[in-house]
Amino acid sequence: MPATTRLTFAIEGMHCASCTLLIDEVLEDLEGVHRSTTKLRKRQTVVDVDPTACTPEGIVLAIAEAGYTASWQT
Amino acid sequence: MNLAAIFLTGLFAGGVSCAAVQGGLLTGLVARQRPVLEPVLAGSRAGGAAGKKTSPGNRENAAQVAGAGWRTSLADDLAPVGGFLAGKLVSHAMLGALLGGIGTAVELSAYTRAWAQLLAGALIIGFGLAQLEVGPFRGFAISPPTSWLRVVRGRARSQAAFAPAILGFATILIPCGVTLSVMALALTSGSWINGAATMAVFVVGTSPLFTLIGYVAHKAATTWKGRLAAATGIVLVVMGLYTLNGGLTTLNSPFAAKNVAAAFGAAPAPVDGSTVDTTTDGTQTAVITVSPGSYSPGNVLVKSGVPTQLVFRSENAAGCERALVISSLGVQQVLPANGDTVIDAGILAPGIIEYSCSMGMYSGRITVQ
Repeated sequence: MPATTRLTFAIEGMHCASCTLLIDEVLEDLEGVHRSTTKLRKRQTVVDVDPTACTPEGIVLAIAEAGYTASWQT
Repeated sequence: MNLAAIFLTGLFAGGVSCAAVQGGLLTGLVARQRPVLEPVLAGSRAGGAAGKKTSPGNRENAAQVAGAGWRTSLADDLAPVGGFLAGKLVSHAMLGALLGGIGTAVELSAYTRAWAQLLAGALIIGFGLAQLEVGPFRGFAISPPTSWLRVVRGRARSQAAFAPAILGFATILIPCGVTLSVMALALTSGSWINGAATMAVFVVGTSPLFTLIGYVAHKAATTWKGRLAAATGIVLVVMGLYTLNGGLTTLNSPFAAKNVAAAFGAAPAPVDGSTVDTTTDGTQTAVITVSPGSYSPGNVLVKSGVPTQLVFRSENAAGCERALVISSLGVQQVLPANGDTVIDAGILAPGIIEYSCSMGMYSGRITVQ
């Protein structure tokens, strides 16, 4: 069972529920991401990752490719 | 709101907001399903089979490969788009029919309907300002239940042949602000047919841009997303003001655009008695022609103190103008597409009688002298 780290990101640019789905879809396609949960009201994405296979920077990049701005909340 | 305006709303506001987001969902679904993507995706991910993991950037590659596929096989690439839009059209038209039917079944009075329209207008403006990220409206959003989101996500990961159509159908569960606004209009549209038409025309309006930028060029859509969101916000605010004005017109509020214009000196339509006839028994009959988007004459002149019949003569009437409201006479009636509707107005006192369609988009006046 790989280790899991929970990362939280603030998201800008979301306007509807489809945006949350798109972000979760994109992230859960990434290597090392176990689960992604995006909340429209909180403007936040919580991602459970395998830290050896996925970095916060990679997640920020993937979210940017989907058309949103993400910042890692350490 | 007439169907042409709904279409334009879909084209300019719904299209861009749907395209940039739901296009991404569809792209992901097709990428997972399509074997042609395997060689590209397999190079940098943990496996070749559909649904396996990738690394940042490869989703764009998937979209680009989908674009390459488009060049070699247009039909193959447009098929999922067509399926998605067809599914979306069906579910949205069904909900529109339901909303229009509910709005009719509860028999909203003209007064209540006008207030519902004011509420819808305010809601639409709120969504527009949220899209524009204006101050306190930034967080203004309606989020569907988590279980609904789960249903849509399940459809987005389906391997079934009809998955794009089913995903399109399921998007009814995740309406954006624009779609919610059009749903509000469907509720006040006056009949289940109008409700279905309102939602269907909206989805048809979203189709061209969805096809162009949402799927074929998804990368471009994400790049433009900020500007598209601003454009959508502006269209929404305009649409909200238009809707709000419809409610104000029905209520004959001094804040309705036509009354504001009159207050600033704009002359109303000149009185016209050319369509009024008086029979031998002294009854006068005023004929008002109802055609797409207008009542004519716009200001009919009748005499006071004599029995009066109003004849609303429909000539290919097709839109909102068929839902006639004359608040001061207690009239709320759906006119036929063609033919006469006779309203016994009784003996009128001197003054002005205002009337409009149920959504206040088209209006007219009867001047009694």
